Amino acid sequence: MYRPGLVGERAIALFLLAFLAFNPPLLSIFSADVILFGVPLLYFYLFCVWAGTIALIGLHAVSGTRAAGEEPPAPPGGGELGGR
Amino acid sequence: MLSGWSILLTSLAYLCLLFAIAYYVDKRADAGRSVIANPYIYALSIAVYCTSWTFYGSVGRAASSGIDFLPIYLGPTLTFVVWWFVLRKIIRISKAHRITSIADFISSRYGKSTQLGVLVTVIAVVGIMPYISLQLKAVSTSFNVLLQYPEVITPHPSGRVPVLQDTAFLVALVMAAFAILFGTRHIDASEHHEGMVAAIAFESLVKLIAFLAVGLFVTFGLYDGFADLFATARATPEVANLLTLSGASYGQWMTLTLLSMAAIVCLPRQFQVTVVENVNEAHLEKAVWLFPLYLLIINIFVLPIALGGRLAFPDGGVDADTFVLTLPMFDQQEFLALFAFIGGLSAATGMVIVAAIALSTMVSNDLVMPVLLRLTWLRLTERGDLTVLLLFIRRASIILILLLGYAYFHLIGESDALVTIGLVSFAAAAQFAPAIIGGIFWKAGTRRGAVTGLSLGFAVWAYTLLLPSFARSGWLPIEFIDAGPLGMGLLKPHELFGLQGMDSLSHALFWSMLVNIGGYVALSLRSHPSAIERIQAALFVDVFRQSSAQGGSRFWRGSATVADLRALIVRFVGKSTAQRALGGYARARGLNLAKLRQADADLVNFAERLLAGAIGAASARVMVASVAKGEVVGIEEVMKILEETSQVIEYSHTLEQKSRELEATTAELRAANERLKELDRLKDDFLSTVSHELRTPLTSIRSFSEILFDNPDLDTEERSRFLTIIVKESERLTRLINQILDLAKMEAGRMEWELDDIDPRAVIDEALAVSSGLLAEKSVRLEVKLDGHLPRVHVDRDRLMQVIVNLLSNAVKFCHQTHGLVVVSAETRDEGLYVSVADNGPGVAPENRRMIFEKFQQANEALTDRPGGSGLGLAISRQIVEYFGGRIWVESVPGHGAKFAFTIPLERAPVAQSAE
Repeated sequence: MYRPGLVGERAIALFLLAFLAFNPPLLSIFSADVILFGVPLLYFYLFCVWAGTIALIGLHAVSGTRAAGEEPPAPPGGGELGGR
Repeated sequence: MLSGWSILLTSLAYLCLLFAIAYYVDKRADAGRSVIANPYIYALSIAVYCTSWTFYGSVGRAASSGIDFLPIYLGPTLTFVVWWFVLRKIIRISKAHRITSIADFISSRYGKSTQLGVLVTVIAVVGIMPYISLQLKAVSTSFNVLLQYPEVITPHPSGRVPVLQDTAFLVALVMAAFAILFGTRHIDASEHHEGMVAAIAFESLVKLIAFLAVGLFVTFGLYDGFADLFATARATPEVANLLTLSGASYGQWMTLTLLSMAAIVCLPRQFQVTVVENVNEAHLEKAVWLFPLYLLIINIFVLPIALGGRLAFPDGGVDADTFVLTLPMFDQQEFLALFAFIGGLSAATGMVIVAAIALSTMVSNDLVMPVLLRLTWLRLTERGDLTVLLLFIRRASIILILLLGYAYFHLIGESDALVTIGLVSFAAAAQFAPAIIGGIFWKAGTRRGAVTGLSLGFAVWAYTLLLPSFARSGWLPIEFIDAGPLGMGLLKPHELFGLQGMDSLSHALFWSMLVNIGGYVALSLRSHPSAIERIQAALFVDVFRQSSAQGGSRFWRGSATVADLRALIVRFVGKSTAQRALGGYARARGLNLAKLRQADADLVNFAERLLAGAIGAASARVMVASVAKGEVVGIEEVMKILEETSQVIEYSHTLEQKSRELEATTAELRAANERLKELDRLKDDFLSTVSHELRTPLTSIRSFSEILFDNPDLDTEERSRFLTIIVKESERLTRLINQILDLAKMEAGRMEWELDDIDPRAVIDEALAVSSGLLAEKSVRLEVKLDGHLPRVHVDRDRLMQVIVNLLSNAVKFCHQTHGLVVVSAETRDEGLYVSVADNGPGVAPENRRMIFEKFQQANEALTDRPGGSGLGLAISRQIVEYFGGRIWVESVPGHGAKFAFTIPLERAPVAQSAE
């Protein structure tokens, strides 16, 4: 049976969070003439949030699939069509 | 030095290397040892998303409007966040239905409609044209720029050059040749191109390394790292605004994000590598974060290169789209420049090859074959081997597609920047999104809805984005843009119906999506789907609720002969593949196809799916229908089957729940049983101990009685000594029996308590008085420390006294043999009344402190000389104190006596044991 459960809920939460974090009005706050670690603040913010999002996808993808306990089915008819 | 020949030879050598990789991987795959079956190659192949647009165009975009280049890469990341819902589902569906392309997917979802397949194919081919032209433009421009080495100039557009001498035309031909070699070497029933996947994964690596090399060179070679570069840029007024959001508008940012979110699924080549070429669904788990990571890494140096270019060529004489190439040339780094060129070539060829293969599959399966099969005068359905025809169609369509791309480039694309051209294609691909997303989540979406939405969206796209690009290039009068067709202001393509204040891309996306989604939803709700549409809708939306094997065979009532089906399959996939596939099918089900005449629904369905892999779902349906009699079941029956399925699911849900409840009850019962067994064991222990304790005094009474009986002439002294023993033992027996009865009553809750407010001091005094004889007998010294005021407690007076007497006699028994000392103290504490009785005996070992409160347990059982007493005193005391709501415990330092203490809470109702 397919139950999205926790994996799905986390994915939606992360999606909304990332969507908001990359929103122009929010970005305009960081769009100041400030240098942080030698990098403009806006770029620093964007790449950090981006990297964080990717890390969270990775974390949830691994633990999520295990939690769901759902094995993807073997490719249908693999034996029938393996050759060419 | 870099001559035209050396560049050409390097490029050809590189392309040959690619082909060698593809060839090797294909050979390995044929031998059954797949090289690409791992998530890393899969993620790298998805990175075909990064084309010349990324390699050259992003820098150009960043050089003109700063941060604006980034949303194109943030969008895919967002889509990959919800991979669990979208990508996983699309892949699962595609595997179950042998989907071969995006056109196949959409037409299959909406009732295997040929009409939709044709429509999607046309949109895809027309829409991707600009994208392919972008790649041709990038390769030819970069080649021409590199050719000028060591001079750094942007050559003139090649529009005036004859076609045959045009670099872009030659590039198109070479790429067509490669796409044909990679993608159409044979017709494959599963449509996997392992060699191609390996080659583009390799290309993804090359373009990443090339771009990083140029980025590192600019950042750390031309400048002293990021800080230096950004500081220089900040100090230069012309480029300082690139460091903030000033260049980008909010609307455009959102448009680009949404477009790229759709594009990562809807672009035909992304669908090809992500869905069709996916060998194992589990690879997705790693790829969903590896691919966004790739995007992040390749974007780190976009802005540094753009800034470096703007600072190096301040007069704007060099096209910003070529900075990746011209910056190394500017610093005389010819090998880096050549490497950058190879990287750009990688980016372009990867995209062109995959796009050409994906589009050619669509053109042959969803456009040409259905048409040819319907032309009855061709008698195609009766021909022999059709694989040659299929391959021919695909090869021809690859050449045609690339020529179309070249034509667009030659006629139109020369004036625009790379990213602008590419975005036109993105907007076209985004038109598929409503039909796909609606198709996998919304059962009510129908064929008519999808056709309407797609046609309207495509028309608006063409009107607002494609036609204006023709007008800008002079193929339509420019008044078309400025004043509207025939001077109708309301129809101006960039300000449709008077909508102003948006950039042309956002404007086009808004209108096309409005009519696309609107048409799709409205007509889906108004139209009545046919039986096959309903079946496909249910199969797609509920893909996770079906076992993959069963497919749609339960909806099929047709019959066909095995020989007809076999002949059909052989014609389209070739003899050996057909033999293998059917043999595998027969073995898996234990059938002998040679003896079987009539094919059952299962076999018919299997044949259709097999054909779908080669010629697409719509054509496969037509072909199978031509040999099979009967049709899919009627609409009422479909509804009934679907109904039954959902009822079965419902029923199994209920069953699952029932069985869970049953398990819980069983566990409870088991626990109760364990408890009963334990109680039973305790009772046995108790009985054996009690009988033992009773027998000891009885034995001594009996033996002394017998001595007296047998020896009547015993002297008086002796006789009275024996009688004393008998009396004492009888008393002990009586006491023991009384205590057992008390304990039993208390445990059973039948004890009668006479609760009253009493003064504890009086009780303690009385207990001391009762025990004074005992104390005197053993000559034990007694100390009494009572607080001046002790609170009254609500207890049973006699029972409380029993506790204190018990503790006192206990203390007397265990205190020091010669200098016995017993200390009784009472005081008020937080817990309530606190009473303790301490002795100076051997004390109680820590491990025994809990045990001595159990029945018949004495700490020093090992001693043969057991002190008198039943072993029930402390147990009874505990029962009584706990009944009063207090607690009893022992504190002891072994060797320095023991202190038994108990508390009784004030003003609290006793624990109502007897109320049960």
